[in-house]
Amino acid sequence: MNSSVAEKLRAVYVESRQSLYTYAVSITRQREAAEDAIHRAFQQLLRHDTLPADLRPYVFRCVRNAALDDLRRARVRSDSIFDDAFDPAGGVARQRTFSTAELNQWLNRLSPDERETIVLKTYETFALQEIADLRGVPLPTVASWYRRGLAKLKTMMAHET
Amino acid sequence: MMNDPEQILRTARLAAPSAALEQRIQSTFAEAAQSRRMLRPISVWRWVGWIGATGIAATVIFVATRTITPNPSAAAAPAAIQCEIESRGPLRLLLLEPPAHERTPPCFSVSVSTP
Repeated sequence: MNSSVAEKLRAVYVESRQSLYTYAVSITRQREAAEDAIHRAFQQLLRHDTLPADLRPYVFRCVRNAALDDLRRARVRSDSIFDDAFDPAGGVARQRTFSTAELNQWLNRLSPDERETIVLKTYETFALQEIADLRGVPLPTVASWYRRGLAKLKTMMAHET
Repeated sequence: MMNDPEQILRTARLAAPSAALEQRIQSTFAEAAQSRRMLRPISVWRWVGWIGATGIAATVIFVATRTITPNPSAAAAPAAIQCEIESRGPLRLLLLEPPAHERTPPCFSVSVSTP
């Protein structure tokens, strides 16, 4: 590991820690496990001698792999990506306010692929092509997960209002 | 009603990573920097070792090559010396058929007259 690797990783961490955390929680659905995954991913990354030029998606992929490793250890998972203390000011609708618990419940009803794609697109501002690269799947697949996830969320939100 | 799910999700405040994660990550970076400082002398010694080993190997190969390759002057077969015995007398007999107790070759001293 050389110093430039550490500096680059530190920069990505500082810039993306919130995004990495949200992404990891969306996968593990457990905050503690998400933090473990991020920590493990950076421990691994710091052992590298070189890093890819496009580092941010690579770091996200490493965190994803670490989070999936954790997910394989079966445990009850229900943690939200949202700030619990922020309730009830979740999503603001014209006529009513959604609680973060509701938003979390709806997100959890999506398939893992749909949830992951929506979190990456909505909160991490990844383009669909970047998500496809990160996941190693074709763009139409990601686009399909995204469209289906949004449609499901829309339906669930409409039923609640 | 605002029915854009993305917009609704964006308005929700996200949970933030804990201070404990920050500390863990910072200590991970610090440990990495520490190990890097310790690894540097090892790396220098590794280079010195490589150069030394290469030098020793080169010397061994050089010496072995020199031992195996025969010296051209030494390797050349000595030219056969042909002697013609002109004597017809007892000396001829002594030279060609020496008595059993005198089988050791006689010693000759050759002196060549130079002009």
